[in-house]
Amino acid sequence: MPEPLSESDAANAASQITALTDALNTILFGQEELVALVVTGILARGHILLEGLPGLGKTELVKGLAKTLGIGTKRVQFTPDLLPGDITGNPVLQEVDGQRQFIFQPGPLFTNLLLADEINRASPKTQSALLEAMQERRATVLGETHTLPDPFFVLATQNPIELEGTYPLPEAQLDRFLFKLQVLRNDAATLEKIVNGRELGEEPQIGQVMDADTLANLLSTVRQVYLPPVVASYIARLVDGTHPGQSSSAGNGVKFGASPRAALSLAAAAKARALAAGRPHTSFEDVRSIAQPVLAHRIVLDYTARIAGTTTADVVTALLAEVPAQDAAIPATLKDAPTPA
Amino acid sequence: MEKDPSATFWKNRAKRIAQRVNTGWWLQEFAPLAAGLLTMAAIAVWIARYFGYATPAPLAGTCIGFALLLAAAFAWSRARPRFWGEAQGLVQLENHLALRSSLTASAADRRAWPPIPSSEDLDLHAVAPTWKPAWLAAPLIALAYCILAVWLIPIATSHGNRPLPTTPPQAQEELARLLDELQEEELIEPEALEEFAERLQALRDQPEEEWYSHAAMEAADSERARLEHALEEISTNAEKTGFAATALERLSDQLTAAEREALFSDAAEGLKGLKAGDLPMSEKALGEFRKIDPSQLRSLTPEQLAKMRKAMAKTAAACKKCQGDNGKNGKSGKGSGKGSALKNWANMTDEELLAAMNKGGAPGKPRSAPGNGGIKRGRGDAPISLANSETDLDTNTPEGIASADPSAGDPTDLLGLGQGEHDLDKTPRAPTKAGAISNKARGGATLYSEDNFLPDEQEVLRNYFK
Repeated sequence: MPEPLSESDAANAASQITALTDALNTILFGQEELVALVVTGILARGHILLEGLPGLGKTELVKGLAKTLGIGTKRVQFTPDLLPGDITGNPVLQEVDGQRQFIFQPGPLFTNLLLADEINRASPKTQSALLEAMQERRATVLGETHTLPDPFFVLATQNPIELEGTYPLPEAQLDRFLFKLQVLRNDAATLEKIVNGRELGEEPQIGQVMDADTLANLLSTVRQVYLPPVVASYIARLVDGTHPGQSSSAGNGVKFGASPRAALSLAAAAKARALAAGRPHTSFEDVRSIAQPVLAHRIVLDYTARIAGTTTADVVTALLAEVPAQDAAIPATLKDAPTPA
Repeated sequence: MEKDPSATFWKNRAKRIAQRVNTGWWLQEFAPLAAGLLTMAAIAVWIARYFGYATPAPLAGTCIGFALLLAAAFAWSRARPRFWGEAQGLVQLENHLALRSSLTASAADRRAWPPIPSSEDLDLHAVAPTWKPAWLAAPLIALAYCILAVWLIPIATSHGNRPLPTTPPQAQEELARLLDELQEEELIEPEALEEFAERLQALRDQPEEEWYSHAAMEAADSERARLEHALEEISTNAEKTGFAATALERLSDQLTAAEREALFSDAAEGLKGLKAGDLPMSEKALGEFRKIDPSQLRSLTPEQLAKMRKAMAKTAAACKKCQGDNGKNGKSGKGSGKGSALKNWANMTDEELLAAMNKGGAPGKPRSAPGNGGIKRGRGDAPISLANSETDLDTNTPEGIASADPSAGDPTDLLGLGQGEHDLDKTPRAPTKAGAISNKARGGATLYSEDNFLPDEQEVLRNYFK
């Protein structure tokens, strides 16, 4: 069991995280919440799927993240003819000490931060090469297992349009992403700021905010954040409520609910969120703030719900309104006090 | 170790919230039980009051209180699994004060307790659940209803709120008095009186609520009437016999043979009536005359006639005494009209006695007919004639009838006569061609007409041309 986190340690960690967030916000204007969630996902050791139209800064964000963290990063542009070996690496026949041997040549997977650009353009076979790496942080090639560097993050992007020739990510792989974040367009004020601050074709200049050791410390600090039993219970009831029949929110239209991995992801992300806020403990508000990006892509709707225009985000929103913070109910003889907004 | 005042503050507030919630859970279980119990208690006491059972308030209150205590314990055991503890109270506080789980973390020693807010910042009533007045009022209303409806509001009882009759009906009372007096006078055979007494006792042995039933009242009236009728009969016969004996004793020299015979006949008739009456007279009342054959009265000596006079006078006096309230209480004066002029025959002088005989004033004579009595003569019913006379409907007189409405008359009634003949059209006409068809057939329509065929035939044709 990790040592309890002191308030001062939490405050120190929060200042480092704030520095990282501020740096990223200089790269991506007007996307403060997106940046905060990306940082939260990194601190929770999660993989992130960014979905948005071209040109919104998805790739820039990932590249900026790699620069500020000072960790190894590689980028793979996923295409339909990409093979698993192109990612994981291949054994190459080499002569060693006069004997010919297969020597494993690591692929781009062997890095700290892998940018999988337009991941849905690769074939399912190639996409599947990431399954083991994302969950177990290792890769097996020709029966030989290779451990990936620590930390290891996959930040993938996908384009919601131009779906011809793409392969939707299977549910198993979607479930391995901690967050699926929607990158929305900027408003006019932000666009004006971008126009004034950037030149076409010129990458934004950004310095390193923290080194790998600092990041490792932060990652271990996140695990020290206290998760009260009542918050853990809330997470469990929330995830359970995504399943058909377990809540009225999931009563109509939900075909499959979120997995136990979703509950673990919620807890980890809530801890990271609390640490970013400088608290040594999580709260219900932390869980609520990251429930949408954690749960929405893990819920599968049935055909009728999709036809009716229901989205998984609608289900999660209804669920958050339905599930009370604590399991202890108020008797009918009493009227609960209004909860502050 | 000195306690952190902040910890004490927050924990106390959390406990107070938990206590309120726990009370709410308990009340949620207890209120329906209490309302049900009080309602059942109210019904039970109401039923007891309705049937007249005493329901002392202390006893009933104790029973109801004990039942409520049991219900409270049962409600507590049912509500206990849902009770809140301090942890739930802390969560309630931090949720409503936006403390972001700080209190829970502090309770787990993961951080310092938040500072105590100023009184303006923390309004416990704003963060604690508030009571719903209806739940609080429900048991109290049920209790008030119980008390009001059960003890304070008067209700009708199964006896119609009337006290049970404690005195027997008047007819029974009078019958008992008559029996007592007859027993005291020793006028009637005790066995005959015992039969009446047994029947009276049977009436009295009935439940009190049956005393005033129609059957019991009618039975008591019938027994009393029967006894009074028998007494009246005895009184009349005793007077008739006594008068005859007195006249025979004192006027023997002045009487004709026919009058003597008539008096003996009266005496024999009265004595016979006394012996063969509905109630057998006692041996003491009749004395030696009990064994005398009425047809042998002519052989009585003047001394025996004197004894008979005295015995009859005594018997008549006893009857009058027993009938003491005759004519009272709205009853008709029984027997007063019959020979009322002779009521003092024992004390009459010879002239008065003779005058009474001549006027036919002896008991049972026509002078005792209705209207001839004194002021106590009674209602005086007119005698009913039992002659075989038919009702004269006067059917032999012919009577004409007239009917103003001919429609209501009999078909055979002759309403009038007159000369008349058939009104024939005698206008001469030329011969016409027969067999011409003015309406040519169109389809099948002309083959039949609704008026020319029977219904079955019309149906066949319709089916054919469908």
